[in-house]
Amino acid sequence: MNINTQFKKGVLELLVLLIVEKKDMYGYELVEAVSKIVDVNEGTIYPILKRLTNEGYFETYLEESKNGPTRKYYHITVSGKKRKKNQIMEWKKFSNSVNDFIKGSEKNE
Amino acid sequence: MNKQEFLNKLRKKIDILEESEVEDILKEYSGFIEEKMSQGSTEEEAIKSLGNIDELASELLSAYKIKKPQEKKNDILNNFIEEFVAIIENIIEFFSTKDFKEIVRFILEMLCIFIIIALCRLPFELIAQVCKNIIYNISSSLGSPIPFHIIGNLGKAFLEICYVLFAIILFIKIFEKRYLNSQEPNFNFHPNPKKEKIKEHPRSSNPEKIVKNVNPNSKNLLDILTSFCIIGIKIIVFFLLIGLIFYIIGLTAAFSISVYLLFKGVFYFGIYLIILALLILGIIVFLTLFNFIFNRQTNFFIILIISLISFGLLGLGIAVSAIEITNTTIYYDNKDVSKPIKTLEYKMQDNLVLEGYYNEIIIDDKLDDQIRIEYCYNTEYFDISIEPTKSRENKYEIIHLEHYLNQFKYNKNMFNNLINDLKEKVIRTYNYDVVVKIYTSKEVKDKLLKNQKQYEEYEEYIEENEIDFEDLHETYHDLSYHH
Repeated sequence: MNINTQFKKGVLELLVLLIVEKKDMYGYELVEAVSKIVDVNEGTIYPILKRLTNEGYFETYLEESKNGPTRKYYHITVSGKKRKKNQIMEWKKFSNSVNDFIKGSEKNE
Repeated sequence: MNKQEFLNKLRKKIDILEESEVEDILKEYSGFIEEKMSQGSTEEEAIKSLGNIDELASELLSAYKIKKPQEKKNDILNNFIEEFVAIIENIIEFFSTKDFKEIVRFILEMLCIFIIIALCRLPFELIAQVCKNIIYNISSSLGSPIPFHIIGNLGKAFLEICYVLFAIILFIKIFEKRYLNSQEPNFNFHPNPKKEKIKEHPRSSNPEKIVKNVNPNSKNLLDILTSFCIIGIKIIVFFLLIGLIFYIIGLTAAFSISVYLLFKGVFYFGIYLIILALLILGIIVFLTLFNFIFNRQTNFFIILIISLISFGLLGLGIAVSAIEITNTTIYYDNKDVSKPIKTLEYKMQDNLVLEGYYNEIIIDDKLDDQIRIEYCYNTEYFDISIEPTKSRENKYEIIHLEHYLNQFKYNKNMFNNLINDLKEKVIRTYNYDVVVKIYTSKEVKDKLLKNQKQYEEYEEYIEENEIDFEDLHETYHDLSYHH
C-alpha cells in the first residue's frame, strides 16, 4: 500500500484517534494496532501522537508495566473526540465522492 | 546500525527541540525498539521498521510546527549567535519566573489604578470650573460678591472631599475585586509564547478552573462609574494615538534620513541611536495603547524587555552623541560681503523720507544730491529682489526700501558640500545677511535725518489724534470738489 504522505498523514491520524478512543494505549501497542490495518513505517506513528498531544487532542499519563519500564499512555480529550468526528465526516465525504466516481466510470465501460 | 547509533543520530537531527522533549522522544523510540525485540525481532529489523531517519526527524519537528530543521554549521559566527541567544534566553527565563512576574504585575496594576484615579479628577475639576463661573456670574450680576465667594469656597471644599472619597472607594473596589475575591487576577498579562513546553498531565489532575464569584448582574453605581471612567480614558488615549501616529511618521522619516546618511558615510551614530530608540519606544507605546483601546491582549513582558533595551539604546545614543558633538567643529562663514551686488539711485528731494531696513548711512562727498543705496550679500547662497515703493503722505515723499530673499540656491552642490562636511565632522554656517548701505553727501544725510524725524512726529500726531487717513483724504477731496 503505497500512498502519498499528506494523504497518509490524514488517514493515520484518523486511525490513531479511533484506536485511542476505544482504549488508552501506549506507543508500541498503538503502532502495532495501526500496522495491523495499514502497512506503514512504524516510526511515523510517533510524530502523529506527538502532534496530537501538542495540539491538545490527547493527554498522556505514565503507568508502570508489570514486567518492564514505565509506559506512557495516551488518552483522548474532549477536543480530540470532536476532531475525530470531523475527520470521519471528511473521510466519508471524500470516500463517497471517490466511490461514486468509480461506479460511474465502471458503468461507462 | 544498532539502537544506540540510531538514537544518537536521531538526537542530532532533533536537538533544536527542548532537552526534555528530545529525551521524551528518544525514550519512546528506545522503548519501541526494545518492545519489538522482545517480540522476537532482531535489533536491525526493529530499527528498519521505523523507516528513514531523516523523514522521521522532519515529521517529528513538524509536530512542533517547525518547518525546516536548521542544519547546524560548525562555523564560529553561528556558534557565537547561538551562544548569544542562549544567554538572552537565560535572562528571559530569569525574568519570567513566577515571583518576578507577580511583582511586575502588581506594580503595573497599582500604576494603572493610580492613573485611573488621577484621570477621574478631570470631571471634578470640570464641574468645579463650571460652578465657579456660574457663581461668579450670578454674584457679579447681583452685585454682592462676598456671600457668593464663601459659597464658592465651600462648594470647592465639598467637591474636594467628594473626590477623595470617590478615589478611596474606587481604589478599595478595584483592589478588592482583583486581589480578594478572585484568586487569579484577570489582568491581561500573559507569559511570552516561547517554545511550548509540554508537560506530562496525569489524567487524574485536570486543572480545576477557578470560578470568579463576582455576579455579573450586581452592577452598582460604582461599576457604572468605573466603566464610564474607562471609556473617558479610552477617548483621551485615542487622541494620544493620533498624536503618536505623527510622532512615528516623523521619526520614521528621520530614521530613513539617518540610514541614507549612514550609507553616504556620515557617522553620527549617537544621533542615529537616539532616533532609533525613540522610534521603537513610540511604536511600543502606540501598540500598547492600541491594544488597550481595542481590548486586545498585550504582552507586557515583551514590552518591558523591549522598552528596557530601547532605554539602553537611548542612553548609549546620548552618551555617544555627546562625544560626537564635542568632536564636531563649527566654521563660521566669514566670506567678504562688502561688494555691492545691486544698487539703487535716487535724487534728493525736499521732503524725501527713506523708510525700511538699512544698516548705515555713509558719507560720500563726491555725490551731490544723489542717494546711492547698495545691497551687499553673498550670491553663492541666494539672491534677492528689491522692490522699493514710493508713496506720498501729506507733504512727504516716502521711499519704502524693501527687499525679499528669493531663489535660495539649495543646489545639489551645496547638499553634497554639507554631506562632505558632516563626514569630516564639520558644520559650516552660512551667511545669509543682506547689508544695505546708503551713500550720501553730508548735507543730504542731515536733510534726510531731519525729514525722517519730522515725518515720525507727524505720524505720532496722527496716531494720537486718531485721524483716519481715508477720512482725511475724503475731506480733502470733498473740499476740492466744492471748490
